Amino acid sequence: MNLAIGEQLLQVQQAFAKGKAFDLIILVAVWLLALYFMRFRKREIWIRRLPALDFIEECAGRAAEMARPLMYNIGGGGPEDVNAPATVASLSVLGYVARLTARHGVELIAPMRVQASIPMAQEVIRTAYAMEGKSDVYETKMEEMLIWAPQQSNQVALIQRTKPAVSIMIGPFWHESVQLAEISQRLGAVQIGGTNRLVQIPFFAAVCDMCLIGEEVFVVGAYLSRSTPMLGSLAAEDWFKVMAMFFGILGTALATMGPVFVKPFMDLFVW
Amino acid sequence: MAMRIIRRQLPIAITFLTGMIFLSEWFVTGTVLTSFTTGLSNFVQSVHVFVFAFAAINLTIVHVGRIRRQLRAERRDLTEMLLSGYLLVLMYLVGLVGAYYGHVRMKIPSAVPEYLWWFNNWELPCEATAYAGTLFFVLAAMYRVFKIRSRETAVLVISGIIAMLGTTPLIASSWQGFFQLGEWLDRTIVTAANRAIMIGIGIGTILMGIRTLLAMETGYLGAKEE
Repeated sequence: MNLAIGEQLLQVQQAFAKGKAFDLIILVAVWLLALYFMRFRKREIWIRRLPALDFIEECAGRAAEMARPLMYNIGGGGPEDVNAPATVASLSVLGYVARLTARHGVELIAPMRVQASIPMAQEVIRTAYAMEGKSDVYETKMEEMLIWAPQQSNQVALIQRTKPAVSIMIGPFWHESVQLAEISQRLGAVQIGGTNRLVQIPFFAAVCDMCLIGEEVFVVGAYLSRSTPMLGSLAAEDWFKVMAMFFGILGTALATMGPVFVKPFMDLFVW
Repeated sequence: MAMRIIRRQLPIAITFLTGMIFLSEWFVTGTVLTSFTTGLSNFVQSVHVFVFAFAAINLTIVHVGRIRRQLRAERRDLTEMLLSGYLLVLMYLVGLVGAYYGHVRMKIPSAVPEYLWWFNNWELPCEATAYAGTLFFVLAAMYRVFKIRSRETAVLVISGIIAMLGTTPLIASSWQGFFQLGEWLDRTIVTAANRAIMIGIGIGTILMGIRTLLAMETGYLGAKEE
């Protein structure tokens, strides 16, 4: 009996990927801290304003005044790839934007680059319109709202054809970011950009009127819902940043002192 | 109630279960979890193929409906619809004929080579042209950024000029100073800023994952209908 348990433990030990024990401990710690902030911390949590998100309602009003469409682009990531978190975050904003367009009677155009995202976006827009009591508008305009445009040339052509008053691009973007933003800018569209992809952030910062940088893309759901558990997770995020800063400073100091000091520190991360 | 379960609770349960399995598989390899995740990934690929086939049928139905509506309308504009419909039928024919000759007659197990020809000779040049166009857009964006409006933009313009002069062959070959300064800016200042943003993105991604797995972030399912 003891041998059987021993063998099983050995099998689990052998199966446990080498060099990932530290990762597991950190992950468990992150989960516990996040759960603490989300579930048990009752104190009101203050978060700074995100002007880009506050600006969306104003943008919807502008599109209504100009009687031109509002274009919302969720980027080129899918729900199953590494950029899925940013896509999911972007879908949250799409729901918010769809409610505003339904309320103000603005035409919404959401070009889709990845086919797997289409059913999700469809559901998000459908429920948003249903909540505003505009299900009939959604049913008649559905084909024009969700357009599959897998290449950047499709999307550029779509922008030039529809001439949106507002262009919102939040999600993972590649080199098409600057093309889409520049074309919209030339057509006089107000723009809000945001991406988790480091290389594309400068382009959005340069061309768009408002910009979400890096991690700000992931907080939109919490920012828009304002629920205590969601805001709690943002507080946890700030604590992790403090820890990252601490380790960063410690690592810099040890690296400056020399390899003899930094080697044991680095070994901490691989066991 | 049943719709609520199908539309909200079932996707949330599936998200949690698959998320936890994939997460566990990262730490424990070579077990039943690995074969399960591999099988699940293959299943997703199969679903994608099925979705494409379904989309082609759906597109045909939508186009036929639109063309019918346009034919009944007073002001007809059928150009784009007929063009896309024609291309759709052409693709069907190329696929079917190619598959018949390739797979059935010549017993070639690979994909339809005609599609590869279309891709290499139509799609790729168009994509390359569109990609090359990015240069002009970047230039236009750069022109907009390089206007001194504040102290911050002044610093940006000065560092941008140093970086540009450093990478210009004529300047770099006559004096190495700009190149070295540009390299220092890139390695020290830019890398430090990039790493700070990357750490933020990493932490944000983890927290986003936790919120999604715990069914707190359900924006991808649409808003809750009252």
